[in-house]
Amino acid sequence: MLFTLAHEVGHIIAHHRDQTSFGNIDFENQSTSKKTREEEVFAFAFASDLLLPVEGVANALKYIRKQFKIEVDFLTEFEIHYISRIYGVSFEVAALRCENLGFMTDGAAFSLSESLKKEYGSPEKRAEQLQMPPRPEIIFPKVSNNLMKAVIDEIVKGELSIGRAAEILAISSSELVHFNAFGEWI
Amino acid sequence: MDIVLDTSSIINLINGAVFDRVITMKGYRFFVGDQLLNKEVLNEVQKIIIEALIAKEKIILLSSDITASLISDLKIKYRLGLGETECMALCLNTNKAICTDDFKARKFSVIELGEPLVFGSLSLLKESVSSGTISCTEVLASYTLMIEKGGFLPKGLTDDYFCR
Repeated sequence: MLFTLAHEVGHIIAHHRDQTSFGNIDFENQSTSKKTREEEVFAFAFASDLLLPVEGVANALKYIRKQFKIEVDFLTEFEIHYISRIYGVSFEVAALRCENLGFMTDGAAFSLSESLKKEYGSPEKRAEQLQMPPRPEIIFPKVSNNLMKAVIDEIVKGELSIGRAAEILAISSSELVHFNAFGEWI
Repeated sequence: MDIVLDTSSIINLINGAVFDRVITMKGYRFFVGDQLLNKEVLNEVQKIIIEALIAKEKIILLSSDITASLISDLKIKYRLGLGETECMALCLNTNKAICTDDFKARKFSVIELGEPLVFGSLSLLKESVSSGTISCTEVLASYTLMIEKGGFLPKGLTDDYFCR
């Protein structure tokens, strides 16, 4: 879910869906497919960088290794499960990120995922068996804090009324007042 | 004096825990437009309080028999929310005063209704003290609560404003 959203954000940021940002390729389906493939690769890389930042993953791995006294010189399946739980992504995404960062050999992520599917039904089932911690709960506010703060500034300046702001944001006036009390969604 | 209460002032007066007392002020009658209960502007608790006060006839529900064109004209002119615009239109239509705590709505209400017919919850608190309905100490505590609960109100007011 989180990765899918980040992936789509990647498409939006790169204007992949905005035809005016790109030249028309109107004769070869194959060219379109190539373009689509490139866009997908970009969106995947974007989402990976956004959700699994290099330094964060490296530090997390260091912490996991220390905590669980892992001393082998290769990345274990256990560590990948842990990374997937910490960062709220699937095992496959976590494994592929580790592979792209050079912590695993090329193709190892896919092979490992496939072998877990065969042996345990899915990487998730295997993670349950290993009693991995749950993924963090992700809360998406109705309106982002930054947008709410900007709107509140406009209300305070008298540029925007409370009722109009509530209409635009599709929230209630009392929610706006409540947000104003804390400066964030509580 | 007849005063139509806007959503913003109702929220603040309820948050300040003085709504049921302010509306007992002698010489005043308080009204709410029916759009308040029809739309998702209040939370459930606020809605229950308003409904109970209407049932007890402490506040009067005004049905909005105002023309769509008046609302539309005001909405285009001032770009307020629909509820705020309807409230202003109700006041214009029935020669009543408005009570709103929204900065922009107050500014335009002054243009449409004239300053003497524009109130805010803080001016009602002030009136409550001078009419002996609520004590100065209670009003100051209520004002603090309104601010703490996020009211879009001027900050730093003291008893100089409310009690003298």
